[in-house]
Amino acid sequence: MNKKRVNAVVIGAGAGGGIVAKELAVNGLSVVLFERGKWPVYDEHPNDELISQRTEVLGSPFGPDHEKNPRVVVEADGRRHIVTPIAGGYSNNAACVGSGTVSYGAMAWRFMKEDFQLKTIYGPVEGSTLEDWPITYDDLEPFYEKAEWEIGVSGDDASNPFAPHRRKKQPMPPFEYNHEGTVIYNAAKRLGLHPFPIPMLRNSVRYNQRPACIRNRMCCGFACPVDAKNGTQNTVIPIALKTGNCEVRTQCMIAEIVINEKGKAEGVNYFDEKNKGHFQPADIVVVSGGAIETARLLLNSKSKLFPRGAGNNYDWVGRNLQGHAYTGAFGLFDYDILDLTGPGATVALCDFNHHNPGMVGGGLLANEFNRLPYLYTNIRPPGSARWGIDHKKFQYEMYRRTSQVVGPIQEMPAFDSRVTVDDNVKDFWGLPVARLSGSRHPLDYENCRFLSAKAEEILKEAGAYHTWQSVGGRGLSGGQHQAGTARMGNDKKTSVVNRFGQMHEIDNLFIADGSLMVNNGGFNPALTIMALGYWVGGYIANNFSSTKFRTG
Amino acid sequence: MDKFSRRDFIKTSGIVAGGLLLLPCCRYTEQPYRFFSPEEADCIIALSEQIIPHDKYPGATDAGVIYYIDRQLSSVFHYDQQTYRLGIESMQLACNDMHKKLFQDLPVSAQIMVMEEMEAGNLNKYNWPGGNLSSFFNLVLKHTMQAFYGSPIHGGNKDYMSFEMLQIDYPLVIGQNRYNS
Amino acid sequence: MASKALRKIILIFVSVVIVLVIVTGVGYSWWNNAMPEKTCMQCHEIVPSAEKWYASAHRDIRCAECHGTAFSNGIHSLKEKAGMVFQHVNRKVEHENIHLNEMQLLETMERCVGCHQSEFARWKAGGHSVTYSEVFEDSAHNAMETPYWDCLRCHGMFYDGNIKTLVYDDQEKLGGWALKNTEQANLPTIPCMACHKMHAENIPIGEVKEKGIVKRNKAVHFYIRSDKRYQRADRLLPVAMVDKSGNKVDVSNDPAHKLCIQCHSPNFKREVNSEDDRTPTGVHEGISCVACHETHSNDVSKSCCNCHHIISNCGLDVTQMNTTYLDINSPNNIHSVTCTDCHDNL
Repeated sequence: MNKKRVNAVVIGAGAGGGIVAKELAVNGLSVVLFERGKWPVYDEHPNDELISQRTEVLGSPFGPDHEKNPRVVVEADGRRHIVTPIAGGYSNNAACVGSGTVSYGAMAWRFMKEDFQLKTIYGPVEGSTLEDWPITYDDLEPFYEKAEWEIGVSGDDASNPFAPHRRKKQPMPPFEYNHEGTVIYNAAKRLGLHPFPIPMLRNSVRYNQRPACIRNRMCCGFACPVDAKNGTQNTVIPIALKTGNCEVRTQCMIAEIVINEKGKAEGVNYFDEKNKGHFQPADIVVVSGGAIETARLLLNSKSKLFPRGAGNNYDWVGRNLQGHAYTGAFGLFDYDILDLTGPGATVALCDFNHHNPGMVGGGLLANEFNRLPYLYTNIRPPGSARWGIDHKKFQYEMYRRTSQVVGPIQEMPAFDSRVTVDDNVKDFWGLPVARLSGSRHPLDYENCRFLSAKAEEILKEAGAYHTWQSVGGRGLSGGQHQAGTARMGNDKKTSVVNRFGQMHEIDNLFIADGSLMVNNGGFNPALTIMALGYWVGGYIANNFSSTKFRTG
Repeated sequence: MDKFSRRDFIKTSGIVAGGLLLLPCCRYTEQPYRFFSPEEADCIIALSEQIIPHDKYPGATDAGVIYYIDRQLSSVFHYDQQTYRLGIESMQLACNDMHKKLFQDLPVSAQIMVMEEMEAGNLNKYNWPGGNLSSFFNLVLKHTMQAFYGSPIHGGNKDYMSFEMLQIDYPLVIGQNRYNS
Repeated sequence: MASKALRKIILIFVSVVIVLVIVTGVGYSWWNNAMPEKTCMQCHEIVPSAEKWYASAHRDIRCAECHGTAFSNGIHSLKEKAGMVFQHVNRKVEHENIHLNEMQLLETMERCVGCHQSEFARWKAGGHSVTYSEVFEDSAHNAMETPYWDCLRCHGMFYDGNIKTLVYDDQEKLGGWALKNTEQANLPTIPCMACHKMHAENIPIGEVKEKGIVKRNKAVHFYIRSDKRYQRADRLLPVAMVDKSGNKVDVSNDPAHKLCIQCHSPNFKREVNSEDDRTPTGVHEGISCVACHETHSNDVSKSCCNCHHIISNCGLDVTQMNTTYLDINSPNNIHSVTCTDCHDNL
């Protein structure tokens, strides 16, 4: 059944899509914002470690449904596994209105200037598709600012000498350090490093008519009981709805983007909440399903002009899948270093993000979000008992005495780290599922070793009587920080979209999520995805009236 | 045609009343577990008790770990049913070969020895198509930790006893949120 | 002949109906008075609840006396009980998924009153009988706060929906919050079951004796809305409180006190007297809320006399003292009064 034609269809109501929908709606365009999940309801899954977006043991509170949405993972030796959100290696992002911004830890990082010009600064890296972005930090700076003020960020760059320049301060003061944060801060200072409070998409004071943070212990991986964590679901999407120009259609699974014989997107075919099929015509289509689902949808949208999937005539869709190898160290203390105030992570440093000898890129270091009891059962020094009385004793003696300094490494884009679709495995709606394959670049592991050693040094200086490293950086990439699968670039043969997120060969098809990112920074990517949402959304809104986009 | 006699009436009434009286025969017979047989449950109880033993704080048995595993196996973890069924069988076979006893009837020291052998993969000759005793052990280990340290709403961690052990105050005490610092 | 056959069929039919009515009537009245193991416990999903009930203070009261019968509330209860049978037959229901909805809970609470009239009257007179309208449509409060999920942790903990289905929040049109469903307005937000778990392990009234005097059993529980279950108040951990300078403050370990602080709570730093916290400091440091507050009405009038002589050592009539914490000018704010507030030279 056909639906009433609208100006724009936006697919995915997360960090990117929510913002694009708002930018278009306030500029007078009619928008349907599709979301495969539901509106998040705190009451449905609160305070439950086993059903949190962080552990996903018994379910993903904010989606997707683990029975309906399988994926395929291909291991290095070629073995294929069918995986679900609750069974390892799935690389899940939440599926609900707001997506990951409902339950994230909410670090609010701007990428550094260097992150947009890695190839220029470090030169080509063998075995990597490393490239400069077609835009610079300066291009994106005003949009970072917009994200910080409209979504809401607490922070202060003053004591971070590595912070990129900004025109305007973050709107809310930074959070205080917790006990662990203070200890790490002092140790880092003594080592001549430059620690500072982590910027957070969370209210340190009342903001946007919503209350200040209550330091909830169960924060990262959970929704906020007082709505003090800022995502698209409680900021821009309500603004879009208030204009009357935007409709949010939840529990709708997009099957394909329909591309006509002139090479324009005509709209989307989708299944509604009752699994009934519909066609939604639109002047433009914006895809923001996260790097894995966006790539999958493009690959599943086959047409005469694009037989290998929308915009995939040069085989770049789904390539360069990146995430963040987390790497760091643990330290044991002879006193209670954790006070368990939420969310836990309070102090960070950017000394190791760039310009360290032997490194291409790098990563931030920070103290870690609270580890709840089940997660902690896997945190033990190498060689420790995995069970029995010694394991239990460690649990109750060391739970508050274990500190972790950790960070995300800037991964080197790898051409064969990729999303494809598996025609033999279908989801609940009969659509071929995403298949993840390839592995990280060997340099990632080297960089992780460097960063872990630095983390261990800090913990030792902080007074830990025993330390050990946990080094990441090998195997398949992806994860919640997924990025890179619809790279932006100036050359249609080596990228998927242009600098405004517009498909090189499909004028009215845009991407607005982590897929755009040429590389993923040594930072949590949420704020950058938001800035890109404003960048792409603003471009569409400004150019819509004079446009060649219209097909109907 | 004969009329509706008193006998018919009594007969009919008898059938109706009898039918009603029989209703309680669909009576529920008490079974403590949804997936496990009582013998299987005893085995898993003994196994999980050595994974998280009772000391000055409660152990896996006190916390009702078995109820978590039983409940999840009959719902979310249905795909692990076969591993449990065959894993328990193989483990008992191994115990019988070594000690001529069921696992749950062994003294603690012997139980721990069997578990160490399973963990190390030394008993993997007792395998079955698609599984072996070390992967079975790892599965029970993981589920026991989830049960003991997760929320009681899933069947384990009775009365939040593991939170009490870790001195985690739950629920979190939070005042109305009017402060600005 | 045809009519004879018809008559016979009608006769059979009528007699079957009569028998059915008689048997059903007798059976039904037996059903409502029989022990649970012959009745409700036939359904496996009820067994754990019934077993708890056997160990509770209410073990002498039949299920129907609190939960009602299929006919105790017209078509509504008939529908409810039929629904239970339907659920049971479909085998979709397990014990952990059975919860009273708010209406069932409040109906049960009305039946509590039958026996607990005095407690009910005191609750009614105190602050905890506050209604949805009084909580969620208080304009002074609503000017300071926006509705969020956690509001329902301490009032409306049995509400079936969530905060977004409970209230509108529109400063422009409504000038604040408004209940979406006006039928909710006069319902109590903190019913008996907020602090009392009906099936809790307990001893019937009159069986607890101390020095030969019959004592009421004081077991209380905190209903954790997010878990849909109770935690025994004596198993709650005491909250480590500090004063404004960060010094540790002694806090009562009394279960009732630990229950009160769940909702009368401090800020995240756990500072005494911050936010809704009224943890006593000064001369009263370490005593329980219920040392002065009556448990159901929260009334404190003349409670000083529980411990003090009417005429204090310094000649003040303690029954006349202005001890309220609401009055910031009170020299004797009972939650923080110290010796030096009255005595200069100590």
